[in-house]
Amino acid sequence: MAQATSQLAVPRVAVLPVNFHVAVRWLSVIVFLGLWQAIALVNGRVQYFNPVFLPGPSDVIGATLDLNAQGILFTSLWTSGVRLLSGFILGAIFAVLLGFAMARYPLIDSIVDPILTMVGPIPPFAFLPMLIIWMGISWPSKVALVAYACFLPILAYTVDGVKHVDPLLIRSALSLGASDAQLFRLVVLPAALPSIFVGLRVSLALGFSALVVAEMVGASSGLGYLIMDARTFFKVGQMFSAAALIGAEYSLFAFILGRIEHRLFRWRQKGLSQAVA
Amino acid sequence: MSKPEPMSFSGPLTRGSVRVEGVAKFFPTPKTGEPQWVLRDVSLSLAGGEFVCLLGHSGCGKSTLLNLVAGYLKPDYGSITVSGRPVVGPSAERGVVFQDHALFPWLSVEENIVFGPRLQGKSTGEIRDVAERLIRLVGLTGSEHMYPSSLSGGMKQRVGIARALANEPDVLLMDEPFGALDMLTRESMQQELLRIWNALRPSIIFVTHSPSEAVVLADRVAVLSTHTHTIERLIEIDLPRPRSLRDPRFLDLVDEIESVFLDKSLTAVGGL
Repeated sequence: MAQATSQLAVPRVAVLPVNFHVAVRWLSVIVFLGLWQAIALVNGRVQYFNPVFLPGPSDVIGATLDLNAQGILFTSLWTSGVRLLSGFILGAIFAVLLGFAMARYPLIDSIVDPILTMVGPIPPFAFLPMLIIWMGISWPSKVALVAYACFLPILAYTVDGVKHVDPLLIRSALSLGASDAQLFRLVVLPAALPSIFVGLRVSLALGFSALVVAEMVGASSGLGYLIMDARTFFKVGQMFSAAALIGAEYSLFAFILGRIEHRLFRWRQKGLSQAVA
Repeated sequence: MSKPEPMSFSGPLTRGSVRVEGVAKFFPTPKTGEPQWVLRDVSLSLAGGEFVCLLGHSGCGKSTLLNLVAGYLKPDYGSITVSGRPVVGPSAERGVVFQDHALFPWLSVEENIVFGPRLQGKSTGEIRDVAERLIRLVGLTGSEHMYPSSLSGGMKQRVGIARALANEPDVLLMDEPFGALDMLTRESMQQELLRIWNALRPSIIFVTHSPSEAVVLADRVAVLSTHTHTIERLIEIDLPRPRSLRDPRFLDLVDEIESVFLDKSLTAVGGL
């Protein structure tokens, strides 16, 4: 096509590496799974160590199908998903509201900040036993832990985002006649939103870890519970299966969050990827 | 848009008139807390519809003076009135155009321009009219739905000017608006600005460090000194418009302005 439209030779080097890297990525996954399967198969023959310890990918798929047959595959995914989402949203709402209040009123900042400095360094998981005592092993303690785990990072990123709004944007809004409320809603909030979303992304991962831990420690359903259940009955394949499901569910949520970000921040230019051709 | 008629009456109460009287401003030095004067005893008045340039080196206080009139800062001494009313803070009657344009990056060109009228709670029809008229006035037709990040420097500044004009301000305050533009764009933007000023006749205070830019644009040029932190000379630009850079009188005026710096400042030659 290039030769038809132009006398000049069009360099084709740029096209090749892209396909090459895509191919390497797929190959990497396939080789990893293949090696794993091969080791499991060979070990199954020669019994170098007890084959029960290391099921192959095919066994994990089998275990997943087994879970489905028992009818707990999708219920576990659903239960964990609902817990995660409610905790995440709850934590985000409180964090964003408090973050704005702290950024706007120095008095609130002075009241809340020392408490956060005191409580912040404690890993959220440390509060799980208290939460279980207070709320039982059903969903409230899980949701509360997820909400708390999400709360702190979102709060920090919200405060940071609001404090670092370009003062020129505030000046121009004031000179265009913005009232206090308008300034907050139409300038500070959209300007802080990218930072808030960084907080959401970070806390989604933290919230997921918190959920799995909570479900492993004291629960009767959910993906974390599946792992502990598998341990009790020494179903190693099910352990791997549940772990993979946790990864898949997290990836799904992260993907959805990414799509929302993409839609909201269409006005942003691509940074690094367009900086150097 | 109701046009103020600059020639019909004058005096401090005219719409768009600006009166700066005996204004002084200092900032405490970070370590000792001693006052460092940025402006000392500055007085300046503009009749409604007048175009005045503030000229000086960096650090002479010209941007501070503009920020005082805009209401972002409060003077430590003296008073500032606009259209006969004291300045107590930023207001929609004083539009501001920034060097870094300060457009809202999450809003399109059109949304940026109608930001002011929207705040004022104007009806959808009025807002559409304002947008249409200003987009045509500043020559942005076809770019209404682009985001600022994909505009050139000159286009961004057109949006900045249109956004400030959308509220029909009596006074337009411009802080080195063309400072970041290349020379060719700069010259065409100067002509655009004069055309817009002619059409709408707001009073304009325009900060620049370029003597020739000041002579191209202004009715009067206030030269501020880095040493005395006050207006050293107020020079009337008695050239008919449109002005030619080759006019001998034009060059005389630029020379006259530059001589103020040569007298007062050791860095004048390098700085200009």
